[in-house]
Amino acid sequence: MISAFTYKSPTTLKDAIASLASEPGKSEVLAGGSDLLALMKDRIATPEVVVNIKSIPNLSGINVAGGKIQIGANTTLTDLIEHAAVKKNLPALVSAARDLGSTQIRNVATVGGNLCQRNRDWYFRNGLNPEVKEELQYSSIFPMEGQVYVHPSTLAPVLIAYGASVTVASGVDAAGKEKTREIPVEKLFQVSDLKGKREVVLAPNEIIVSVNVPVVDGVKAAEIEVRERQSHDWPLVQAAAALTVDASGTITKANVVLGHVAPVPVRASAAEKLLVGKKLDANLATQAGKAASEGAKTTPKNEYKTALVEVAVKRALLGAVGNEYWKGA
Amino acid sequence: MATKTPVSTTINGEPVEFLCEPRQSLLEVLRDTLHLTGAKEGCNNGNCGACTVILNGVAVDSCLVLGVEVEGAEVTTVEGLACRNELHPIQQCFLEDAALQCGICTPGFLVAAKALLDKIPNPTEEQIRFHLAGNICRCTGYDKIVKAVQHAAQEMAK
Ligand SMILES: Cc1cc2nc3c(=O)[nH]c(=O)nc-3n(C[C@H](O)[C@H](O)[C@H](O)COP(=O)(O)OP(=O)(O)OC[C@H]3O[C@@H](n4cnc5c(N)ncnc54)[C@H](O)[C@@H]3O)c2cc1C
Ligand code: FES
Ligand code: FES
Repeated sequence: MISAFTYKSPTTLKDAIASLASEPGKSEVLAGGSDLLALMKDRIATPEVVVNIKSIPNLSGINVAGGKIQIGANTTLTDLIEHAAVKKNLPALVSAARDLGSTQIRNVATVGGNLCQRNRDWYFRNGLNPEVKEELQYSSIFPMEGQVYVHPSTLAPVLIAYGASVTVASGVDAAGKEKTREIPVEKLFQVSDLKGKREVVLAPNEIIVSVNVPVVDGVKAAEIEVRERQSHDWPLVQAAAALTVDASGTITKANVVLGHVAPVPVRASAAEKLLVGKKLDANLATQAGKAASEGAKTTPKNEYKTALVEVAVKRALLGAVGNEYWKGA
Repeated sequence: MATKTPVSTTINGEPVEFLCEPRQSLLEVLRDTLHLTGAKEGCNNGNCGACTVILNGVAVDSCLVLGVEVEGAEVTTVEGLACRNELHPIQQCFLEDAALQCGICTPGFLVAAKALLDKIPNPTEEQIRFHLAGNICRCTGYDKIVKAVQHAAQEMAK
């Protein structure tokens, strides 16, 4: 059974922030609960206070205005994938959210919770049990700061490719109004020490309010996930690509982001450099895939991931421009 | 004993009040406090769908919802499908089409199928497989379940 906690269900953002503790581990935000409750059952999270943010109006729902799509942090993944403007403008985000978990999970899981979910490393999920440290077939091929877990969010690489940011409520000013700060999704993640330092750079009493995705004319995007199973599981490797292509077909800007290969979503800078100024064809996409996997530090158990990165990047790039060659003619 | 919170909700169309600790899941409350044992505990972490209920119109895993969260909500469990002595068409079709063997997954599938047919009355096979992917069955091999849901959709359209 979950260890006992005080439950709060505030109706204002201000009260929610005030209910959260400033030290790590003491309190937790509860959104869809699809990760938090599992962590609490396994005693990986043992908060004294749980703050349900679902009764706060304005934290859910999607607004389209001023060249961007603003997604309330509490918007469920089901509402996200069924939203007309999201389907039209952000097909790669829909693809990532649709492939995630199951209908039951998507009906509760929120966009904010997806970005803040804890990693799925078996060592971490087993309470840092050294006996499970050997299961390395899913681990990072770009280890960072000695950590080999991979970041679990499949929305994050796509949001980074689209150039999205999050608005975060962080405290209350003297006049009693919430203070907010804006963080590019790319800067939201850090390498966790699996203890007090989380996978996100947020303070324990900060709350993501919305995810803001720019809608830019001419951007073509796609994401590819390589999965063992079609549902329930996290991908082995994910590649997200967003390309800006001019009238002549030349790539003027390339965002290529990898998921599930490192403790944070990583930009494939070498691939991006290779792409800019050229016209995309199968050959260039293959080269970009190779560039994306450069510098990988693999073990015999996870070296297969470099081949998956190469193919995922190639397909994401060609898929972005409508060439889904792998689906057959 | 931690303090209990009073919760008022609607379950299977009836107003219900119960007391629960914040740490109890909706599944625990349904089974242990309200004695609605139709929803099953399989994995207790969102992987199997045996605990599926309909919460405010959508299928959820009740093991991943806190009991205190259903204050003011509407919950449908498998007990709410049949009408007196008459089985719901989905239940009838599962029986007729032999869409169950051991039966542990069946309540979850019935409720997930109800949520699906409420939303998409005439789903394609792909839509059925997509929306029931959150429910795991270790006996039937799924084909009979998919056929039973298709059959139920036809019956309900009559
Ligand atoms: C079977 C299964 C398969 C899955 N497969 C995938 C997959 O392929 N890809 C993928 O990305 N995910 C996958 N998931 C994970 C799922 O996406 C997450 O559990 C979900 O998105 C978390 O959202 P939530 O609203 O339920 O968060 P919660 O469980 O409520 O919260 C998760 C964490 O985020 C914090 N938090 C939540 N909202 C905010 C906020 N607004 N501001 C600050 N902190 C916040 C909470 O305090 C908590 O620590 C899977 C989950 C399951 C059970
Ligand atoms: S018991 Fe809830 S999903 Fe398995
Ligand atoms: S009938 Fe046995 S698990 Fe489905």
